[in-house]
Amino acid sequence: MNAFDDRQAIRELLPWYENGTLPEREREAVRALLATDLEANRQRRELRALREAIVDDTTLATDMAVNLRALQTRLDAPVGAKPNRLRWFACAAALLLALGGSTFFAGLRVGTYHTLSTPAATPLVPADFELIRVDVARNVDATLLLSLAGDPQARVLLGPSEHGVATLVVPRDHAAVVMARLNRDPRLRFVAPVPR
Amino acid sequence: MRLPNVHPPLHAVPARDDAATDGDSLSAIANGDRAAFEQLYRRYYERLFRFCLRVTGRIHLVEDIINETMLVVWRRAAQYRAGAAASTWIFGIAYRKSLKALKRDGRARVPTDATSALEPTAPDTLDREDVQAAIRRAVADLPPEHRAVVELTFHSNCSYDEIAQILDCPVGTVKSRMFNARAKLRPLLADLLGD
Repeated sequence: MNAFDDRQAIRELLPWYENGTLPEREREAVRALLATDLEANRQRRELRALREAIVDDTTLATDMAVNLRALQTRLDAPVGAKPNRLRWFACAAALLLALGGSTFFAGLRVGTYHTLSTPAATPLVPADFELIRVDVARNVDATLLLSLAGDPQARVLLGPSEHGVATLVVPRDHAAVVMARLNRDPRLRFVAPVPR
Repeated sequence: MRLPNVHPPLHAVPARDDAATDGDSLSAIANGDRAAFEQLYRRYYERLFRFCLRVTGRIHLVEDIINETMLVVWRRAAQYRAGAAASTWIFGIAYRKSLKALKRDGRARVPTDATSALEPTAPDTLDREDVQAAIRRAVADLPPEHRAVVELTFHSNCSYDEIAQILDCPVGTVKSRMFNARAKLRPLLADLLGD
């Protein structure tokens, strides 16, 4: 730090030299600077003018007793109680609960639903059963289709639709036999396993 | 801000001799002594009023800030450690409450007769009282952090160490805020001094 910086640093202490709170060592440094430095003396005059301009002995229009009474009513309130924040938190929690609940129960009301990987129109089938798609002639209904399948565990899962499409469910062990039997009947135009 | 006289004048400068009394009061308050709290409230009310008014520049906020400050004093008196001056602790709370109140109220200044911007009047036409009024308005237009340093130095006669504790910042920050505040006021002060 050069001499200029030293002087500048000491000048920055002038406000506290003027209010009489500087420690003795710094007070001495300021006093020594004031004895020789015109700029420090100019700044000191500025500070005195500032103090004179802003120190305000005007009395205040305020009723301390009223404010004290207002505060006294709050002294016994539980520490940390913040009713407004708690109220907002409770409202937010209730709203979240309502939204979550309605979403959950909406799901229950609709019943079983499926992900995109499972067609919505296809009920879930156990893994050890095979799905077989069959295109039938107009005069073949579900009862006839089951009799043509010839397997007591076979079930008609869907159809036959107005376009003649039906889906059968048969145990996987019996699938090849059932498909061979169905393929032999001329009323069935197409028989094939449904990829799963 | 100059207000009508309704009470006898009180001293704006803190009475340093009260330090021991304040410490005793805080000990009593920590034990739930309401009488001690009321005495402390009365001792600090006007000083806090002036301080908070000068920091915020908004009189409608001040009474609430004082009561919020003193409520903290009531509830946390047991946390006060006798190593620091009680006034430093209390003014520090008041300073933080003032900044919070300003933030809630919107930090932009509300022009009033005491805080409006400086009139662009030519300095030659101003007499001494006009310049002093302009200086008060210029101080009121400083950022609250700078106003607090000016207020604590010139009204509360605090040392830079005490100010640093109250504002919870390094001493260097206190000095730089004072430097910046003085730099902004310098043209007006030069007018006042006829430089």
